[in-house]
This record gives sequence, structure tokens and C-alpha cells, in this order.
Amino acid sequence: MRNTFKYTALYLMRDRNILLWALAFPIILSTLFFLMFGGIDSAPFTHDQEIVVVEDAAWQADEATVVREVVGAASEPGSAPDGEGAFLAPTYVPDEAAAKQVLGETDAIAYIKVDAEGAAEFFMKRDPSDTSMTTRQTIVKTVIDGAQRTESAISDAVEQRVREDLTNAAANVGVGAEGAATVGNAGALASAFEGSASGVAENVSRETFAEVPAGLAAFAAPDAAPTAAAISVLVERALDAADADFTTQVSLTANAPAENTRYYYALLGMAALFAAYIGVIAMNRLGANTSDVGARRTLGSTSRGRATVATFAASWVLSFMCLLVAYAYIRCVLGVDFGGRDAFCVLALAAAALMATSLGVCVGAIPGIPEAGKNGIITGIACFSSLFAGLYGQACMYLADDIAAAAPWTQTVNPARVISQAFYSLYYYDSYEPFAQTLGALAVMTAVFLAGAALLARRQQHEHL
Amino acid sequence: MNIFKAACRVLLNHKSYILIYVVFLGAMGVFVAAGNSHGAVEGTTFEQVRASVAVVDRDGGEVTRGLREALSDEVELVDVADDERALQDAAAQNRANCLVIVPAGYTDAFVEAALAGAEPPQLETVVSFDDTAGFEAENHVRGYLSCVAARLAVAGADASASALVDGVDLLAITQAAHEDMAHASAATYVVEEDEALPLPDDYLLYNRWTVYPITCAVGVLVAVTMAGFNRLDVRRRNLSAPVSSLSLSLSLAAAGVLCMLVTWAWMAVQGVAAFGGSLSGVEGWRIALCVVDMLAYSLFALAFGFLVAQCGAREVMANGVANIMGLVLSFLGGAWIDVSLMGPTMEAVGRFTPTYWHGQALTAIAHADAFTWDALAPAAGDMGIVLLFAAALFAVALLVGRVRMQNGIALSAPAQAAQG
Repeated sequence: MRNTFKYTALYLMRDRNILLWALAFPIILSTLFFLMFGGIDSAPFTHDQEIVVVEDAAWQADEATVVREVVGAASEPGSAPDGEGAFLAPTYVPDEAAAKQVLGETDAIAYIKVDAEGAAEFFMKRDPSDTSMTTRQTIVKTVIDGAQRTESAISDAVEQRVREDLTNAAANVGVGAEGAATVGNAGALASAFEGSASGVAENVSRETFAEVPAGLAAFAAPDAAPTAAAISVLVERALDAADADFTTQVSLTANAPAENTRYYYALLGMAALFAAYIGVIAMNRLGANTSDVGARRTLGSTSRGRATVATFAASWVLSFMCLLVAYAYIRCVLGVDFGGRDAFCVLALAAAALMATSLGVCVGAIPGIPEAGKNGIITGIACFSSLFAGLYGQACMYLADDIAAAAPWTQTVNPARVISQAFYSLYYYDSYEPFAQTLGALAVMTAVFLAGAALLARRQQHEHL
Repeated sequence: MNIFKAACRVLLNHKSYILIYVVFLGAMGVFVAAGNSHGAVEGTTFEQVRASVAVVDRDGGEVTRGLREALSDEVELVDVADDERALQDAAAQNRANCLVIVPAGYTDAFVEAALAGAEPPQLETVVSFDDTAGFEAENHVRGYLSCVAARLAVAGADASASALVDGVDLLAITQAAHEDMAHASAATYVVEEDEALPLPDDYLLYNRWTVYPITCAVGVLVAVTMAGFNRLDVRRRNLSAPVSSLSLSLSLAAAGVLCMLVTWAWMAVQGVAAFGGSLSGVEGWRIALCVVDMLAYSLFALAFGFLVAQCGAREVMANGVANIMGLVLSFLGGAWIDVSLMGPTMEAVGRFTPTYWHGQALTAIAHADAFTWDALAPAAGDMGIVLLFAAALFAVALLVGRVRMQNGIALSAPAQAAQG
């Protein structure tokens, strides 16, 4: 049996096709992934977004303080979401015609102008070939809109409060000439306040709000109604409240979510299935009517059971070794993160190789199909499984996830998906239970394929020999 | 003619490859393109990208309800079950760009803190790998909460907090904050009014996807057919038969071209049939040009299959090489992942692949203003480059064949199907 194992392993290793499928394939493709995703990882989506600003009279007016100061603050170094670099890279031009020209000639994503009320207006560049364009435009708009919304909330809240306090003050002091004037002029007071209360974004200077019009005090009753100082306090209070840290980012997964690692996991799933070729070839070399070697071995003294076990073991060891080399290359040379659970990853590879070998043996045992046809079946299974494991790009990954979410059972019967999920479980989950489940699914598949192989291979007649 | 028929019989004997690569993978292209609605941008009016947010509400209070209501105007709210595995999967798979976890008692604590002018409790957010969308979603969450907090802080000024907690009209405040969130800058595209309707994204994606099945199908089928005739015994017999070398080569080439044309026609008709709905309203010449672009790429695949055969690859080897080449070209050419995302280096590498120019031609066709030479010159140039790739590969294949013949490799190597 030892000799059978040894010589089976030797002739399998000398087959160039096996080396191509089981070894070269994952190494070539993973190298390609590495080169591609390296660029994606460093894609500066939210850094130095180029915009054009129409710096006209409206832009310089007091009403535009919020937008002006937000754009200024977002252009400062360190204002990008990750703290590296500036969020915006504005180009200031004197009028709209120049803005259009600059927008067309540069990589700018939009130009901004403000109207007489100080509201920003965006004029976006449309480029359907640049899929990130709309996302980048959205995020710039979101930041500027956010500042204007907060300003609106504070202005409105303070105005309401002033109106209420003035009304209460008038009621308390009686509707005298002064009180009536106060209440009557509440609208004017609010308008005067609005003129000054602009610029409430997180990064906007608060100096604007300190300048409450001195004339406001004249509208109010000296003791009971809000004074300029009181309004200033209200604004300060609102600003403090709006400036608070409302959210804190946490991580729920054992490792930070990374889009690209899943392609490597899917690739290992496909590589494992392609390693099933080893099982097919080994089985062909065992059959009396499928190869000359098989015919000779059938006549040999080694029992069929012992030869089968040794052949299966050699195929599994070779599959496992090929996957191990691919894993080592992806893990050590390309530096792909597997969550630091290498021992369990190796266990997953062993289980994947066992399942793939069983699949190969099962397909190899199908009578009446030439070896090339069996290889075609393996190719079909590998391509089909890999599609639903998300190997073929972003659209495919989304589709695979959508299908898995809608019908979870599909990912337990898809070999490539199960193998991919084994690595996914180790990377994302703290618990080992999901990983154990994927190993269980691989064990069940192995048992099914072996049972199928046994049923197909037993009691075969070779009268024509 | 007999050689042509024999070559066709060899082709038909490889039904499994036809089934896998032409029928199955082609259908998968339809499946993937039709199911891909992520990131599609259509129309000429600017529409914000809507990040996906899942609010995990363990509070049930007014602020959380208001938050969901305000967010629904800005983002896509997705439902995620409140259990550990589901939340982890949502973050890991980007099913929600941002998860917002609202702890029990949040509303009460938030209102109390905001009225008192104290630091409010923080919501836990989980941002998936799409940082940009996560940033956008977090901005909306913070924006709404800052509006509510500012309003509460103003309402709570100069009053005892305990009296206000009971007296404050929280519903009115959250509604007012919702109205604050309705303020949005006007945004329009600076585009020509009469710009032509571009091709739909799903059809474009399908056309990009087809490079993989076409490379595999045409590459493998042509290679195995040629390899069948390159087998030692068959080749010796053919060389000694009263058939000229030219006639033999032309017959084999005709079979290869037929295989290529059938594959191309299948993919083209399938695409037009499957995406007929999306294509309604699109000018016929655009669709026709896409089909021509696919033909140009199919010619490259034909040259590739010829090269594999000339190298003396056996069936399994041809299958492996075609598969790997199909995957590599698809990725490098941006068929599956946008080239612009890969960085300048990979984009530069991609330019050396026919798939890149195939994709560029599709983009140029979609953006052409009219059916005029000036408008279509970029597309024609891109398709021309694809054809040049095909011609170059064909020339290399001829050279390889000649070298092998001169060295006697083709007549001495055991280029037969594996029999062990």
C-alpha cells in the first residue's frame, strides 16, 4: 500500500495539467488580485475632492457665511474623514462662466455658487464612466447641507425661544407701550437675529454668533425680556449641543471589514475544486477500462480496496499540498489577512482538499465518460460554484450575498461557497461555531461524494477486456 | 469540405464545453447583469447616492423614531436582525454601509443631557468597508441628532431640567428637526439638453461580462479541435493524403471561424433578448455597434485558441490556460471591477489587454452623440485596437506553429489525448 501511495503521488506530480490547475491557477489569479486590489485600497475617495467655487458678491456676503466657512474649514489639512489631508480642494473663480470652464477642463466634480439668501447651489459634472463620481459629489453635498441644516435648526430654535420669551415678558409686565412695542417688534427682532446667526457648522467659527446686534436690547424690556447677551448665551448653548460627539464607531467583527479579502477566500474555494482534477486523474489510472495503468494495476497483486485507499490518500495529500502552497503564497507573499488563525485555516484547507478529492473520485468513477469529459464536469462545477461564491467581481459578489441572504441553504450546498465561508468565519466571527459548521458541511459533502464513488465504482464489469 | 465537416464533428463532440462556457456562463452573464442594481447611475438630473443604513433600535423612544423617519428621506433603510451573527454579516458584507445601534433608554438619556446642556450619550455606529458611504450615513445621523440637541438645548435654557423633561414637547422638536433636515442645496448636472440616452448599465455590464465565456468557449473549442487534427497519427495521415496543406488549413480555419461566429451570435442575441426592456428607446445603431465590438473581441478569442493549439496544448491544458486567461483578461480589462478603481498602475497594465479596449469601445459607443464618423471615431479606434491584438496573436501563433514544425516538435511530440 505504501508503494501504491508513493508511485501514485509520483505520477500525479509529474502531470503538468495538475500543476497548472491546482498550483499555478491560484498563484496566478491571487497575484492578479493583489495587483488590482492594491490600487483599490489606496484609492483616495474622500481626499482632496476638487470643486470650483464662484467667488462673487453673493459668496462674500454675510448670508453666505455658513457655506463659506464650511468650505474653508473643509479645505484645511486634516479635515478629511480619516484625518489625513484635506477633504476639499477648492478652486476659486470670479464668475459662473469661468466656473463652467474650469469644471470642464479639470478633474473638479462640481462647482458651487450661493444665492442671495446664502444657500449653496451645486452644478455637478456628469461622467457615467466614472462610477465614483456621484458618490463623491454626494458626500461633498452632504457635508455642506449638514452645516446649513444645523444652522437652520439653531436659528429657528433661538428665534422661537426669543419670541416666546418676549411674549412672556410682555405678559408679565403688562401690555404697556414699551411691552407692546416689544411684542410687536418680535418679528423684526428675529429678522435681525437671523442676519447674524449664520455659520453653525461643526467647523465654523463661533465669532459670528458673538456679534448679536446691539440694537436688539432696545426692543426688549430691560429686565424680563432676552437681552443681546442672553441671546448670545442661547446661541452658544445650541452650538455646544450641536457640536457634541453623537456617535462613536465600534467594530462588531473579529477583524475590520475588508471587501477584497473575500475574493481570495472565493479563489481558494475555486482552487480546491480545480484540485478535484487530481482525484479524477487518479481514479482514471485506477480503472481497468479507463487507462493502461489501470488495466495493469487491476491484474496486479494489490487488492482493489488497498489500491483505492492508497490512491485516494495520495490524491488528497497532493491536493492538500497544492492548496497549502497557494495559501502560504497568499498569506505570506501577498500578505492577505486571514485573521491570524492560521492553524484553523490549514484545517479548513485539509477539509477542502478532502472534499475536492472525494468529488474528483466520484466524478472519476462515472463509467462511460472519457477523462476529458470528466474534466469538463469538474470545470462546470467549479465555475458554477465559484459564481455563487462571488469570485467573478463585485456584481457577482453582491449577487452571491443576496442569494445567500434570501436562501441561506444555498450556501451550505455550494462547495466553493462553503470553503469561502470557512475562511470568512475565521476572519469575522469571534466564535468558532460558524467555522465548525462549515467543516461539518464539508464533511457531509465528502461523505456524499465518497458514497457516490463507491456506488459507481463497485461491481463494474469489464467483459471487453 | 470533408475536413471542415470532420472538424465540426470534433467540435460537437465537446458538448460539455459548449454547455458550460457558451450556454451556462453566458446565462450567468444575464443573471449577474440583471441582478446588479448596486451603484447604477441613470438619468440626467442629479440624484444623490443613497447609503444604506440599518438602525438597530433597542430603545423604541421618540428620538430614535424621529431618526429613522429623517434618515428614510436621505438613505436606504435596511432591516437587519438584532442578533450578533446577523449584525456581523451586515457589516462584513456591506449589506448596510452603516449600522446604528441605539441602546435601551437612549431617548431619555439624550433628552435629559441635551436639556441640561450636558454631553449626550453616544450611539454606536459600525461602518462597513465602504468608508465613503459609511461617512455619508454617519453624517446624516449626526446631522439629525445635532438638530434635535440644539433645539432641546435652547428649550432647556434657564429652566430646571426636571421640569423641562416632563414639559418639553419632544414630538414637536423631532418633527422640527425633521423639517430642518429637509433643507437641501439645489443640485443639477451641467449637461447639454439634447444629450443622447446612454446605453443601460445592465446591458453594458453583460457585454463586459461576456469576455470571459467568449475567451473560454472559443479558446477551448478552437484549441481542442485543432489539437484533434494535430494528434500525431491524424497529422501523419493528413500529410500523406491527397489534400493540399492550404486546403487543410482553410478547412480547419473555417471550422474555427464557425465556432467563433456561433458563440458570438449566441451571446449577442441572448444579450439583446434578455435586456430588450432596458434597451427600449436606445438607438439601434448603438446596439449594433456593441454587437460589432463583441465580434471584434471574439476574433481575438479565435486567435487565442489558435495560438493555444499551435503550442501543442492538450485538452486539459487548453481548458486550464483558457480559463486562467479568461479570468485574467476579464479582471485586468475592467470587465468585472472598474479599472478606474484599481489605481493608475493597474490601469496602465490593463491598457495592454484587449478586454480594456473592448470596454473602452463600449463606453465610447454609449457616449457617442450621433451616428457620425466624428462621434464614433473613438469607438472605432478602440475596436481597431482589439482587432490589432487579434492580428498580433494570430501572427505569433503562425510563428509558433512554424518553429514547432521546423524543429519537428509537431510530428514527434506525443500530442495525443491523455490515455495514461
